[in-house]
Amino acid sequence: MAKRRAPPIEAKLNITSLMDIMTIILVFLLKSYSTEDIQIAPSDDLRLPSSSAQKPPELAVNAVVSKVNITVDGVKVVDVSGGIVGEEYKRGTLISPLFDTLKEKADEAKALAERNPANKFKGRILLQCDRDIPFSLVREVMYTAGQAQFAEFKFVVYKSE
Amino acid sequence: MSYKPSDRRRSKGGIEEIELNLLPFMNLMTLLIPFLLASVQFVTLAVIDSSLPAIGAPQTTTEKKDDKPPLNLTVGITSEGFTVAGSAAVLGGGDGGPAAVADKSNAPTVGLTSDDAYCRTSQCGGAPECQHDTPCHDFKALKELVVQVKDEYPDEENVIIAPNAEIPYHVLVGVMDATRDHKPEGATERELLFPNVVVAGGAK
Repeated sequence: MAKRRAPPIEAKLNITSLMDIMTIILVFLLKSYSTEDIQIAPSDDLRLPSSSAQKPPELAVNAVVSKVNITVDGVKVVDVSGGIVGEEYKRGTLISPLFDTLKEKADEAKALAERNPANKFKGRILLQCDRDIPFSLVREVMYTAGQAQFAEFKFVVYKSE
Repeated sequence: MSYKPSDRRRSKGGIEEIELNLLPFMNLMTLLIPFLLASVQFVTLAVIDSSLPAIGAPQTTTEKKDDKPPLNLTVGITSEGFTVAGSAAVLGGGDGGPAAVADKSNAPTVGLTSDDAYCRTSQCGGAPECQHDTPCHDFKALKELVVQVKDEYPDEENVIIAPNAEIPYHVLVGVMDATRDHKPEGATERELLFPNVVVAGGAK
């Protein structure tokens, strides 16, 4: 007759302390949970200025002016070097590729507004500009947006308080 | 002095030790945490409104209660400082109204400050490693000046900002901050100063 083996010791994991950690993390994450519309991808080329402004951002056409390029709704439009857009892309103060893209966006929004009167075209544009770009470039972008019938600028900044 | 807990009950096995089954709860946590981590936001954003005067929506003209002429507060930004002007005169340097601001030949109303600690906090925030210029634009002095103007013209809400071409964008935002609102000492609410910002083209 085979020798009877001793019954195996039942190992029990004590997960109560892990639970404590999880609960704290969960509360912390829930606190900073956000459902904001606009997403920013922070990088060395796009550092927004901080400001004491309190107004929350809303959904609109999103133009990003970084140190290296200008993008509209995530699509690159034109290159920037040293805070200047190449002369070949410009007509006076107007940045042509940017104008074409924004015009398209405006036409789209207007076509949409025609079918759905509740969704009016208000000409809102979110401008995310790097903190160190010169005002001359900001002005060119504002002028171009204005020509494409986006007249309500919303400068996106970090909330500092 | 504390006594050893009585082991009478345990030794006799009268009451069984009940253990809570935490595993389903753990499952829930492991699912919730990655989901929340994905949507966590570490920086909060805000927006500053500004409209284009020429082709923007027409400003709603409110009936003036008195005969005061509009102020047309204008803040010119140059690399030497701020030039503050109203429709009547430029503060602190000759007269001539907004035209003198565009001209920018006069000495600035608010000069640069060479307070290194101030420049560091105004340009870097709390970040320790950051390039900052000294002397820099003195937003604090500008704010004090604008508060005085607001006391003089409590109904005015418009400000025109005219930066020079080479002025970095964050200085423009700093001026918008200085002219938008302020928090009087001891107050909990912010008081609006000149929240309607128009950014003018400035001199080329």
